[in-house]
Amino acid sequence: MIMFKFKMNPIAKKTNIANFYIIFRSLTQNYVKETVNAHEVEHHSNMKDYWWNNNGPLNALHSFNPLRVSFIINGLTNMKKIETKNIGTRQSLENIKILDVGCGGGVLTEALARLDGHVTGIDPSKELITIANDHSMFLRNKNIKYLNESIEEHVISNPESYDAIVTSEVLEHVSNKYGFLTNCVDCLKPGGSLFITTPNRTMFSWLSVKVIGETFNFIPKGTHEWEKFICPHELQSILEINCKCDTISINGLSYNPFTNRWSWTDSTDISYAIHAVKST
Amino acid sequence: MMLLNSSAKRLYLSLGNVVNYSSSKKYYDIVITGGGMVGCAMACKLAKEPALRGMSILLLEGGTNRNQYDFNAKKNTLDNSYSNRVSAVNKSTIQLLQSVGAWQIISDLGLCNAVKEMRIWNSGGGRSGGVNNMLTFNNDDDLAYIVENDIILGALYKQINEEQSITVNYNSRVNQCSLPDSHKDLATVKVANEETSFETSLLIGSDGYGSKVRSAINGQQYISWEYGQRAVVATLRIQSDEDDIYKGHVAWQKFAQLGPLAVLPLDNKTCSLVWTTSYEEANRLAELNDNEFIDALNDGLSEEKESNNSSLLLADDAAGIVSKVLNKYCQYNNDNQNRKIKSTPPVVIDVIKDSRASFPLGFGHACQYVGQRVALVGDAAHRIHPLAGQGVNLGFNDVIELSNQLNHSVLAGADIGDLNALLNYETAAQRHNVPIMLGVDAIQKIYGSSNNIVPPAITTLIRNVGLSFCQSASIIKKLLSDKASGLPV
Repeated sequence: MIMFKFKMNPIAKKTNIANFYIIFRSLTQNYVKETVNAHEVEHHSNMKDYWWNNNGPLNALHSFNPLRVSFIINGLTNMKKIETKNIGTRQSLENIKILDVGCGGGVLTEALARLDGHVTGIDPSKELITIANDHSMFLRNKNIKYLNESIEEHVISNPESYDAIVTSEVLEHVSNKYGFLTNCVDCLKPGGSLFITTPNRTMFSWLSVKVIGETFNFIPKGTHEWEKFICPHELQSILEINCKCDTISINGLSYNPFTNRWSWTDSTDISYAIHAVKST
Repeated sequence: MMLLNSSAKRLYLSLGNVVNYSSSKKYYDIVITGGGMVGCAMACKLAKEPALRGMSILLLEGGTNRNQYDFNAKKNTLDNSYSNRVSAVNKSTIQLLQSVGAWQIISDLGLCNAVKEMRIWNSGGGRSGGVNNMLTFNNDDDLAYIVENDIILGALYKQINEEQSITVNYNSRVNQCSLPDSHKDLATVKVANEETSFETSLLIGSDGYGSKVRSAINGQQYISWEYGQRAVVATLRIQSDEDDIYKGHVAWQKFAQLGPLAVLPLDNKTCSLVWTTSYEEANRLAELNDNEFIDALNDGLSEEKESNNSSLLLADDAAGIVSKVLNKYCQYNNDNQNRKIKSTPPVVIDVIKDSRASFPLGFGHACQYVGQRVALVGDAAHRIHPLAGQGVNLGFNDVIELSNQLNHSVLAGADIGDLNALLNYETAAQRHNVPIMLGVDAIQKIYGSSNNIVPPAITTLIRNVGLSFCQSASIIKKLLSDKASGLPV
């Protein structure tokens, strides 16, 4: 493998450094077949005790819900997926099949189910799926299903079967982004929407997510590896070139830890949300 | 095994729910305790919110069934008999009542009276007869509306009865409520003298200043004090002044030595009185017969006996000079300043039989409006002095804020009792309420009480200059009336 990398070098030198970096990353990442990293799963499984604690260490994740749910609903409304009578009601996701990849304890999954979506949540962590399942008891008569499997296992039995796929704050924990995203898109019906939120890989995000966030406990320590973050243009190129998707929108996100509130911004420097549609 | 275990648990839990339903626990999405004006408005507003459509709402009212309020009887009686409890509702409250369809009922029947001008003056006016230090508010729009509390309640109950999703339980005083520690459990309310208790995702406490719900909130701190004053209320007949362009639409308020005295117009001839005074004086007034009461009231409204005290006269003259100076510099934006204000104060000619009553006054503020699956609105969260007529408006503002936040959060897929949404409500409501409450309390402290530390002449001077200053500085005046309107400025 080292030899191979050396052989790549002369080619890379002809282009610029940034390009080399992308090629380097994609090459190294392709060697990891699995989209699931054992130590990431273990780290997140350890959060099971306070996952659903509103005021606990994950309160930023809870307060993120209004924004990401409205992002999904607005995206689906724009794609004319939501029936007119359901717009602006509690039934806005009626009859829409949604897959939440990396659902964790089900914070977002339940919100989508409460809006009458047919939601399936998958996560490689057995512990988190268990607490998600336990917690979903509080929803009466809602279509919610949790499976303890990875996306590459799920795609085998569910190709082209979802109207929307949501993977929120997950991509930054995945090494093999290419494999992960192609599997996600394979689960989508043609014309279906893919919603992703993830932090950017910039100096700002390193400062805010790693340094400030983890030092002051806005985010549990060791949750993020900055090196694995992905920039919007990288993500966009994978989606458009490899996955045959069209990017509909990329929106910047920011979080105020003092008011515990998320908001949209023009800058994607810290974190962003992307909406892409699988071409028909 | 794991799977079996969890499905067994699920079955058990769902069975548990079924058992709960059939036994003595009934589930409602929202339970509102206290069917006063604010509680009823809350129920109506939530039922009309498109995002919350279909949610079951239970309103627990301690009193007897009052949904038979007969508006037509009210309209047809020639001799209008007004209730002695009235509210001055501001524009924001009117918008709320309009949005639930209650205001249309009230205004169609003409059961509200617009206040077009407010005249505020201070005691100790001395030789000038109080004209020196008169603060007047008048707007092209109406400042506020005076409506009887019973009318607002009647209109709200009429709307509530038309809503399928609202259940009203009368004679249901809350006995005990237990709030959950985490969002995984529901709040439970027990009603006195009844077997059943109610489970709910969101408990809204609108049960007045002695709220049971408030004291159930964990770590609650309630800041309160009594003013040592009572409000004497009555319905009055006054001599109508034919020359006054705002005839029947003028509210008077006098800051007398013992506390503010407000006369609010119900129609051309009838007014409602809110007379804040000391306990002893209130007791004395209660003893008087109607004629003696009218005399005492007219004495209170006109100049007082102590106005021949030389130091007070001096203070009045000083205030007169200040107001003249201020007027001179602020004349350009005060063209109505020179308009002759006639018939200050109103002359009371009669008091409606059996309309006299009195109640104690106090200040109270809950540090926490919300908790896990619980929110407080209205007097349960805050209680203020009636001198600015803001108490019920603050309560209605809570209704607006809470229903807004719930609407947003439910549309974003959150549980109805989601703590984040409730905390947002708390922030918004307190940001609105606390400045008004402190302002009203400060006015009460400066104008409403007599103390022995500061000589009366000085307090009179400060009070008069304060009024003159507000009268002259149109910016402050606009600020005050905008704040009182309750609308975002």
